[in-house]
Formats: sequence, C-alpha cells, structure tokens
Amino acid sequence: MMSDTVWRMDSGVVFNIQRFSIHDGPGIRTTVFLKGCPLRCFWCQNPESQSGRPEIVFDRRKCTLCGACYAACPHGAIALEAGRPVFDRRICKGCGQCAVVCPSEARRLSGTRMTVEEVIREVLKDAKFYENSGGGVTLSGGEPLAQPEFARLLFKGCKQAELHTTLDTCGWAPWPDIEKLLEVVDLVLFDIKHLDASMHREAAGHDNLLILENARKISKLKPMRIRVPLVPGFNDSPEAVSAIAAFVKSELGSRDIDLLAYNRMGEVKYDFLEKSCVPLPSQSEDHLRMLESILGGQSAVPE
Amino acid sequence: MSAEKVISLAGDSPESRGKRLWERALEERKHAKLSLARALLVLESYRETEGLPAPIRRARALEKVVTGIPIFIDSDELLVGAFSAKPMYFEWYPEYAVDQEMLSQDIDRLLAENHSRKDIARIVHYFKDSCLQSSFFSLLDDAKKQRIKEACEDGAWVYRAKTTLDIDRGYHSVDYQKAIEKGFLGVIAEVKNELRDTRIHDDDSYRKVNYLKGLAIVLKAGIRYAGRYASLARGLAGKSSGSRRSELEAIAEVCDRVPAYPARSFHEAVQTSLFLHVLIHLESRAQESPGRMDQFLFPYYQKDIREDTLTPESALEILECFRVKLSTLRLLSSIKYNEIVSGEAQYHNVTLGGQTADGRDATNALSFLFLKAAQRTRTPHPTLSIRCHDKMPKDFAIKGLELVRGGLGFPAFFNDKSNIQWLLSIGAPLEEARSHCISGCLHSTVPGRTSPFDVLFISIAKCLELALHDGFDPRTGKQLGPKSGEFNRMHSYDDLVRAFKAQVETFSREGGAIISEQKIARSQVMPAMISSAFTDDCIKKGKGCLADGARYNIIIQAPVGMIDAADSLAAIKKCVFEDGAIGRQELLDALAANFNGNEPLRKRLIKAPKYGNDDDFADGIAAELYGWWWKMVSEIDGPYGVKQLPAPYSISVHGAAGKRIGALPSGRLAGQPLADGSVSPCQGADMNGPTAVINSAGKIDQVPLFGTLLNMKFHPSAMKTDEDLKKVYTLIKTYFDYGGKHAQFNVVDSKTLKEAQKQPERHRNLMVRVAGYSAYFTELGPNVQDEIIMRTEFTSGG
Repeated sequence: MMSDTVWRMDSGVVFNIQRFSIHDGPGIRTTVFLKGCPLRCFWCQNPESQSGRPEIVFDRRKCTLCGACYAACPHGAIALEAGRPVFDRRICKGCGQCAVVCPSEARRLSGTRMTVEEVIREVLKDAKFYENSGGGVTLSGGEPLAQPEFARLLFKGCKQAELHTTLDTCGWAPWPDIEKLLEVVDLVLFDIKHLDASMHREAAGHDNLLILENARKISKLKPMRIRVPLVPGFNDSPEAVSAIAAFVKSELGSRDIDLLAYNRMGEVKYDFLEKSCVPLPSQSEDHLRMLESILGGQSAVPE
Repeated sequence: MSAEKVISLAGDSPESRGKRLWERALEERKHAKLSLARALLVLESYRETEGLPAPIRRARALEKVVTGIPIFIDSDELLVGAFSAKPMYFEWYPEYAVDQEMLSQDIDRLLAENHSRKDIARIVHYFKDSCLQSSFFSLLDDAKKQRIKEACEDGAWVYRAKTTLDIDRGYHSVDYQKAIEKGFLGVIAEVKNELRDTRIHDDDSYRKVNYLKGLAIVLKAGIRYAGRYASLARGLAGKSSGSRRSELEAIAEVCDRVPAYPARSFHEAVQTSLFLHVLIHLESRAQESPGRMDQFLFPYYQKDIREDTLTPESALEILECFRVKLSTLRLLSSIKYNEIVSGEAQYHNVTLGGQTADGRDATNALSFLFLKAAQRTRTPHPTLSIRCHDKMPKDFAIKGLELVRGGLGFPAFFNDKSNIQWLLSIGAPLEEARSHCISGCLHSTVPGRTSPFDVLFISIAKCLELALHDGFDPRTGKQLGPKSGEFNRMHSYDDLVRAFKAQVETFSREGGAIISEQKIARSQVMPAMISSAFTDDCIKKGKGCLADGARYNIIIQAPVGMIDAADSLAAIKKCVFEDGAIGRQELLDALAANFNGNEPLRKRLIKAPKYGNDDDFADGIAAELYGWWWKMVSEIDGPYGVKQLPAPYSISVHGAAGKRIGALPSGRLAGQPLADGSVSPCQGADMNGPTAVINSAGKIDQVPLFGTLLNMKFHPSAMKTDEDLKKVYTLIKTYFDYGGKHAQFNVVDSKTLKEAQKQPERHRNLMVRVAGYSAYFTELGPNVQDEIIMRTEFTSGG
C-alpha cells in the first residue's frame, strides 16, 4: 500500500506502458509514460498525466453500483448516498484500494510507483521486436523531465541493455536536467506549440522562452525531430505553422517537423477526472494537407 | 529483381478485365440458383453403372457430368471451364449426402428455371439411402448411432462426425506441374503402362486394374470436356468480330491443345491448371488447393516474355481471369436454406514465394503478379499464402501487407523454418519439405504426394465444461464423458486438469476412430479419381489417394477452444485455488446461471490472467495443454497404418461449437463464439497489444503442430504508411523467429467498430494508434467513436 514515505530516487510514477508504439520514434517501441507535467495546455489529451501523483480515474459507464469501492477505501473518500458511491477527490490519497476491488474496472489507478528495475523488466519483454525493427524505448508523459533522475536512470538502464532511447519532451525543464539526461538519449522528439510567447503562456501556462532556448541547445547535441501538436484555432493556421517552420529552419538546423493532427480521443478522460474539457473539432484532411504543404520538404503529417 | 518493375508497370487500371468479370459475377450472384444439371447427370450415370466397382462408377459419373453439363463462355473471359451449369449457380452432390430438407416447399424459389421439384424427388429417392453419408451411418450399430446423436452436431457438439461426409473435404493439393508438363495423354500413357504390367491374379490386382481403368476414363473425360469448349469458342468466334473474335479463336486453340498435351505457353499452362481444378470439383467438390502457382507457371511465363508473345500486363489479365473463375465456385453442402447464400469457395489456397528445392529464394515476378491480380480484382478467392524465410525479399512481404491493408484479409504469412522442420519430422526428404505448399487453410503439404484429409474437430472447451460436471453435459442433460470426479470434491487445481485431460482424451480417441472409419468408407465409395491421377504413387500402386495410394496419408485432429480452456483453467487456478476468492459451488452456480445476478463474480474471472498478454501464468497453461495434447493425439491410430496428426485450427467451427457451450470460467457467456484460430487470444482478452500476443503465442512449442493459426486485427491507423507496414512485418518476423507458424491480419472495418460499440467487452483490445497518442476504441466516448467510424469508412471505403 502507498504511504507517505520518501521514495528512493530510482523509482517514479508511471501512468502507462504502451507496447508496440509505432509512431513515437524509429521501429517498434515501448513508450513509458511518466506522470506529472509543468504545462497545463488547455487541449491536453492526457489530463491524468498532469498531476505527478497517482490518482483515480473513474469511468462511470462501467460502474455497476456494487459498492465495493466504498467498503475498500481506507480514507473515507467514497461515501454511499442512496446506494450510489460518491467520490471526494480532495480526500483521495491515490492509494488505489478501490481500483483493486472494483470488479468492472470502472475505477482504475492512474499512476503507479515503479522502480527502474521494474520498468526495465517490462520494456525488455519486447527486446526481440526492437532488435528486429531498430526500435527501442520512448519516454513520454506527462513530461519525463518532471522526474529527471528517474528518467535518467531508466534510460541508463536501457543503454546498458543496448536499447535505443527516445525522449519525447515539451521542453520546459531546467537545462542542467536536460543536459544530464541527454547523455543517455539517442533521439529527442521535441514539441513546439507556438512561437508567440504570450499566446503560449495563455494556452499552456508558461511562455515559450525556456522551451525555445532548450530547443536551440539540444539541436547542437542530439538528433531531434520537432513535433507540432496541431490545436484547432490555436496553432493550426498557416501563419503559426510557417512561423514554427521558419524558426526550426533558421535556429535548429532544418530538423524534420511532424505535424500531429488533433484528435479527440482524450476527451473522455476529462470525464474520468471530473474535469471539464474544452471541446475542439478535429481537422479536416484538406486542412492538414494544406498545412503540410507549407512545410514543403521539411516534413509531413505522420498518422 | 525485375518484379518491382512489373508491378509499377501494371499500374492500377480500374477497368481491368478481371474486375469487370467479377463485377458481372457479383451481379449474377444475386439471382443465382440451385442447378440440378450435375446431380441429374450423376443420377443417370449411377443407374447405368449399378453393380460395377466403385472406381469405374465414379469415373463414369464424372465422364457423364463433364460431357453433359451445359457449358458457357462469358463475353469477356479468357479462361474457360466452370463449376456449374450457369454462372454462379450451385451444383449439388447428392451421392455424398442427401438432406430431406431438399424436399421442403422453400426449395422452389431456389431452384433453377428449367428444373422442378419432381427432379429433386427423383434424386432424393435414389440417393437417400445409398449416398456416402447414409451408407456409412446405416452400417453403424444402434449404440454408436445413439452416441453420435448425443455427442456430435445434433447433441452436445463435443466433436463433429455427422456432417463430415457431405463432400470430399480435400485440403490437399495435386500435381499441377505434372498435368501441365505431361498433359493428360502423357498421364494416360503412364496408366496404360501400369495396366500392361499388371496381371490379375488376386483381389488386390483386380482392384488395381479397375482403379487404373477408372483413371483412364476420367483423364479422357477431361480431354473431352476441353474439346467441348474448343467447339463452343469456335462457334462463338464465327459470330464475333474484332478483338473478341481473335480472343475466342485463341481460346479454341488453347482448348484443342490442353489438357491433352503438354502446355506450350503461359495461357495454356494456366488453362490446364483451371481445367484440373474444375474437374476435381465437378467430381467431388473437394476443397483442393492449386499450390505453388508462381513456381510451376514461371517457366512458361519466362519463355513467353522472352519470345515476346506475352507481356506482364497480359499475364496479369490471365491471372485475374483465374481468380474470378475460382471465386465463382459456390458451396451447397448440407442444405440449410438460410445458409445457402453464405456458402462459398473456401480453402483454395495459392502459395507464393518460399524456397526452391535446393534452398534458394523462389520469389519471382509471378509472385508479385499474383498479388497484383488480387489487388485489382478484389475477388475473395483463391486465398493467397506467402511462405516467409530468411532469404525472402522484404519488398515482397511489404507488397503482401499492402494487400492486407486493402481489407481482403489475405495474404496469410507462413514460416518456412518451422513448417519445413515439421515436414522433416514426419519423414519428408529435405527437397520435398522445401517444395511444400499451403493447402487447406494453413497446412504445409507436399503437393501431388498428399492425400485429401479427414478432420476431427473437437470442442476442447466443451470437454472442460464436462470436466467441471463430472462428465455430465448440463445443456443436454446427458452423462456424456467419463466420470472424472466432482469439481466440488477436488483437492487441487491438478485434480481438475487431470479430469479435463481425461475428457479430452476420451473424445479424441472416440472421434478419431469414427473419422478414421469415415476416411476408409470415403475411399471405398468415393475414391477421388481425378485427384488420384495427379497424386503419387496412386498410379504405380493402383490405389486411390484417399487410401494409401498417396505418399503422405493425412488424418488430423483440430481442437477448438483450447485457448478458452486455458483461460478458464487460469481463472479457476487463480480465483478458486490460489486466492480462494470464489468457492467451487459458487462458481458452478454462477456458470449455470450464465452469471445472471452475479456480474461481480464474472468480472473477477475476467480480471484473472488471460492468454495473450505475455503473462506466464495463463500462457504457461496454454503451452502445457498444447504440449500434452499433441503427444496424446499423435498416438491415436488413423487409417492405413498412419497416426492422427495434431493440427490446431478452427475455421468457423469456433462459432458452431461455441453455441453449444454454457458460460465458461474465463468469463465468456453461454453461446458466445470460442477463440478463433488456435493460438489467437480469446476475443478482447489481449490488452497489451500485438507484441504481447506474439510473445504469448511464442511460448507454445509450435514445431510439433501441423499448422497453427494466429489471427490479429488492426485498426487501419496501424497500417497507414509504408513505415507502418515494415513494423507489422517485423511482428511477423519476430513471431517466426519464435517458431510461430502462421500469422494473418485483418484490418478492422467500420462494421467491426460498430459492433464494438454494441459489445465493448469482446473488443476491449481494439486500439486506435496515431502519432503521439493511442487509445482503446471501446474506452472512447460515443461521439468520438462515431467520428472514428466515419473516418475508417472514409479511408477503407467500407
């Protein structure tokens, strides 16, 4: 069971390990999603990744009202009102006892504390696939650099096992942490969301100065690809994309740019966390093609 | 390799001849009916040949059919020969099995215009007691009849033995190369030599001579069949003009030449292949496979290209016509009206690539052209199989996956290493093993040397249900299996496994004995003549390929629901014996109630470890079961001195068998289909993606198994770019490194997604993959699901 003891540096909070990741770096990969993110992008597709703590996600569609969670919660975060479990997130400690007993998987614990060794053991299960495809391990999130030491030890373990390592980052982190991590990184997937600092601040909670500065520094040290999550009405205009493309060309040395189409698959998770979601439409194929054409040879929309 | 050039050269002409022909056939399919032409000719022949030995009777019946059945040449066709009297019609095989339902009122709307119910009555009257199925069952004693009634399709469905004799099951592949190279006249000469050298001096030699005479009759009949087409084509040419006139003249010339004489051109070689395939089907409706067409046709292709009498485009056109022809074969086996339109050609497998007898890469330009023909016509048959090996060009695999992406569901991929190793283990010489083709769904057989199969499908999941009830079947209320112990009184998980194995073994032996007898009855009554003429060493021995004329005599057992049994055992081990969370009686009660009122218990069972997640707990059980099972089956006697072979696959039996099984401890509800294939996880059980599935399947020692079947489904988002396809290919390659035998991929269409919306539980594993994000489809909100369905429709055209 979870307690408030001080965790050793070689463990961290992971909210998903996804095998057969085929769009996050070369070859077949396992993507390890670390919990916690310094940004608060309004379109975030993994809202459960924002907090660094384990937390309960609740899919009410699956709930059978059996009441097992009420009985199991040691902190009194679940009350029973007219036969319905009512959940108070403020009291919840994220211990996950309710998820263990939930028979219908309506309650799940997002985020478990895992040791480096546990994660490495998991990613090594697909070693044969990495070897045959030139794949490896990708760290994503959340933001991996929100747990810099854990991230570094994970990648160190991967390198010891001779696995290719890809860091998928939003770029908002202290440079010393990044620099240290880069020693064990083979490829960086670097998100650039907007070139306008104030728009960036408004949309993501921080401006982009540190991010762009880090991008410049990384570009001198490591292979990197730029990823632009296209957000309807925020940065999916020709102007916004052109500005990013120009920055990448002039300051990062013509890196490949991947335009990531907006998809609505994260919407439902806001419900799971009782948060409200900013509804956004998906982009049309035509619009994507048009934005892609702006990049010219610089890159494409991967799907 | 020049193959790449060929493909790009062919382009994507939407109006190819094959596509045109197939669209017309689909139109005709809507109005297609049951033709009695074949059945009436067989009846007439049977009346004329009463009292004659079976080989002669069968030969004369085929002769009557091919010389009397109405023939036609469609306005665009380049290849001739047909499985029925009219395009897309069904023909009937009453000498195999007659169903009284044929006499019901409903038949009128299905019956072809020129026939009446009186014709049907005549046929039924003649064959109802003497058809293969009736004659076999009438000779069984009452106890056995009763047993089959209770244990098989009409009862508990523990195994299938009642509806197995309706056609020749086939699953074999004859020697097309011989037909093409020697011509039927060359084979007749071989038969005559053997006849000349055989003196009748005892029963065996008498039988041999009759057999050989029968072979000569069917071979000559085949030549006459082609002769009819030559005349028809010539007649039509006289009435045509322009390019069609010369096409018809060319058809006439080809049919003058083949199959009587050795083929001289690519066109002739393909026509010989088609005639041979059609003749096999007009005789017995066997589900025979043309085998390695890219290999045996290649010398003709090369020669014609060299001599400038053929272009890749014109070769492609001929292959397209071949595909359309094979897709016009309809299946009317047991007459169930509601199923009449769903019956189709099934296991007519064309194998591509692989190795030569001396171990070189055999992929050639034709291998690519076969893929292209399928892409252009989009016909469902013949299904394509790619033999993968270390020297195979990667391009070829990627081209194959492009076809998969198109939504056809094939080609399937096969592992040379594991399959050749298996063939060697049953005594095949290395060169023959390397020359194997895929016949049936997934069986690696040596073409032209292997008997048609008989198959025992056994419901392993039913055996588990019986084991949980001390051999009693709760559904039919009968004590069917041995009393293997009451679940309530079992002390350990091992007790249950022992009881389960006792049930499986009992029915494997019992069913194995019955299909073994059936194979002998089949050989005696329906001695597959055309197949025998092209199977070694039938001519030399004067024995049929169903008997021990074939060098490899095959009888197989196919377990259905092995993975459901493994998942169920894993759940019981975990929840009942290890955690003690569920009581034994509690479990039995919940199963009896189909979990009604006890959903939490069911969820707990569903949460238990499941095969397909790279979890040793469940995977270990599956691996142990398969390991035990193949050894047990391999010791069961078959006919003609051979043993039964362990061949796990399910075709569509997992649906039929599943209907007769109550709720299972895996959490599966009563009546639901069982897991498909043989090493595929249960529907929706695999939650860790395809690499985990492959790791799980890789834990099963597959080398001793005669074929396994792994089906995987992908949302189109995982197969969008060429890069994606390469990654999917890596899945195959890694699985084959593990010793896996077969992998097949389906691209999920919008229909499946809609189904998943209704039944999320059975599609939990369905993942939508896009850059930077992936999600389980069933977890998404309904409006987002709808949007994905729309986009899926848009990208896949359906």
